[in-house]
Amino acid sequence: MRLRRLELENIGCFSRAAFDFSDTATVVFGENRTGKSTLVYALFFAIFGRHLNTGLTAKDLCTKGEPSGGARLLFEEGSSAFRLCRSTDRLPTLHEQPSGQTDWRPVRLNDPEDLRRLIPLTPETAALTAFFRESELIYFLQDIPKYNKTLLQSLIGMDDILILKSRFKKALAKAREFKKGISKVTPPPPPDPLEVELARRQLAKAETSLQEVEAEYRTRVESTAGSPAVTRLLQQQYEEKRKLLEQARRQKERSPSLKQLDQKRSALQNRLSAAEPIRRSVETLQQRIGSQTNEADRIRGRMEKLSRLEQDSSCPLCEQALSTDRLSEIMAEMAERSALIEKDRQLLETKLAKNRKLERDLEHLKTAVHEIEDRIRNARRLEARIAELEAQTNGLQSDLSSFNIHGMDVPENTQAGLPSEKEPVRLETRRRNAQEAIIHNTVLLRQYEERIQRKKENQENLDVADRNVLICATACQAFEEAVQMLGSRMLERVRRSIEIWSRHFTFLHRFDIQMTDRELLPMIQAKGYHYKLNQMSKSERIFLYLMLKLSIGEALGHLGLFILDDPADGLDHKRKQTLAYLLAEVAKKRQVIVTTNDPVFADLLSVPLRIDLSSAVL
Amino acid sequence: MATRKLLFDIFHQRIEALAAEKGLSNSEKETIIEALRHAMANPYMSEDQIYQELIRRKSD
Repeated sequence: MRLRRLELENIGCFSRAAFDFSDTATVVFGENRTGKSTLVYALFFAIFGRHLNTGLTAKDLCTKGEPSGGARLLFEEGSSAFRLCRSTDRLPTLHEQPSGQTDWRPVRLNDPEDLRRLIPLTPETAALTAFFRESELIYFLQDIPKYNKTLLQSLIGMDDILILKSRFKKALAKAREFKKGISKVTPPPPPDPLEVELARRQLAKAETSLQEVEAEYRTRVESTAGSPAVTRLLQQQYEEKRKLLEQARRQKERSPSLKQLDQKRSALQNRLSAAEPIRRSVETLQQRIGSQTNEADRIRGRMEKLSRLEQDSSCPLCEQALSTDRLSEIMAEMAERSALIEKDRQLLETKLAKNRKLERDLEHLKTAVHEIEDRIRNARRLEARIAELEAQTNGLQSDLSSFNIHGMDVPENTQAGLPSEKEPVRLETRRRNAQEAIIHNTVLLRQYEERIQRKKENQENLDVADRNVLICATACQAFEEAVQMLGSRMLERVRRSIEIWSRHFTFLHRFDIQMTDRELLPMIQAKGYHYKLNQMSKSERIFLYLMLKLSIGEALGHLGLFILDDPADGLDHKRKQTLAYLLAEVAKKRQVIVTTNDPVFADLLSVPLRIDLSSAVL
Repeated sequence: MATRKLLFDIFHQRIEALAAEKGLSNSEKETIIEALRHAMANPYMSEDQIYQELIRRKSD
């Protein structure tokens, strides 16, 4: 990464400012409170979007009174130029200008990995390896690892690596658990091969036996087919059926035919339907008699009232005198009407009695119809029975014909040609036994096969689980060893870098500087007796710290930058010369940016570009 | 990052050595390396997912 230009807006004391940087080394010169440290912080913010001081936020970089500030960094990486814009209140944007082109092309920053390809270092590591602040020396004197971790562990992101290691361990535990689960599933023991062979042989024997029995059956049936005993049996059956058939036919002749019965039933049904109006007229007559009776009762009631009026001779409502003649006249009318109603009622009752008699006759008709229907059903059953018997006698007749002895007189007690009574029983028993043996041995063999199959599947699953455990264990072991080796390899790299860089720090030779395995803290020993860091002079501590920064940077990465904020503060002229020489050596490998308020030191640094902060405005 | 690359390189070397020692096939070796590559690229990968990655079978 090569920094080209930094443009600031509302950052610290810079409302608007721009700084160009040299490829090798750039000195930023300025008096106190002209923004030297702010420039270093702004560079860190432009690269990582954070404050270099971990106790502060990016917002703390803003100019006092301004809501936000921004930085635009132009840098080169590979053959392309990039423009990274950061703001204290917005997401960053990145543009790329490929080599030989003039257009800036936007680069998507949806994923943190997009930017990590260009800046492959964490802010913490970069703060240690690519930036120097005089204030860091205070922390450098503390020799207690932070959060019980060594500096190296925290720098190489050991937390993430340890989390990953524990996940690999858990994956191994999972594989072992799975294997344990499979081991617990105990399949039934595989069958004894002798048992299997025995079952196979018994099955084969039973099958052979069954075939023999079947063959014997066939032979016996063929040999007894034309025998007189069988014929006699058939003839007996034929005779029985024939007799039954004749009986049925006689019964049919005795009873009227189906046609006659049908005709009779039709005639009766016609009569029944013709008598239907009589039933209805009975109902009508009953209603009429009821209404006549009611009317007679009503007239009788009125006549009683009139007779009471005749006795009182005055109206019960208006109490006026009534004419007895008129009352007698009304009474006579009512008596006449009542006599007429009575006469009608008698006529109707006579008619009703007549119709009821007809109705009883109808009931008899209905019973007769039911009887005829029963007879029809019986006649049909008889016909079906006759047909069945005819079919049976025909079948038997045809069997007898096929034996070619139809009509042959067979002696009653002939037994010749028939097997003895015990023979079929013996054959049947043999057949049943053979069938049972076949079923038993087939089931047995199937069970054996299932047991063998289950054992095989279980073994396969166990093999797979074993292999999985082996793979997980190998991965886990390799990862654990890699993590252990990582620390020692990193330390080895740092040690090698110390050897290289210590050549430039000859005045530190009287110290025996070692990096311990336990933590990345230098064990500073004078030749022969112990020294403590705070017993070193300030210049010695500054140089020791610079050397360690450069060495660790070689091991962990440094982005090709070394940015120092006032490193010459408190050094005498000789040490300033040494520092200037040292930075010139560093500038051969990295891009160096140094701020100072010391004009002598600035002159000692014979660098191609010098920025005077008083003129750094856009 | 330098450390991650170094870790991966060391892991690769260790796997080569352990695979030869324990008789792992090439595909099994590749499966383990792929599993670590995925696990390092995805910090949210759980142990279950790592396990599934590790036991994934490939034909040789």
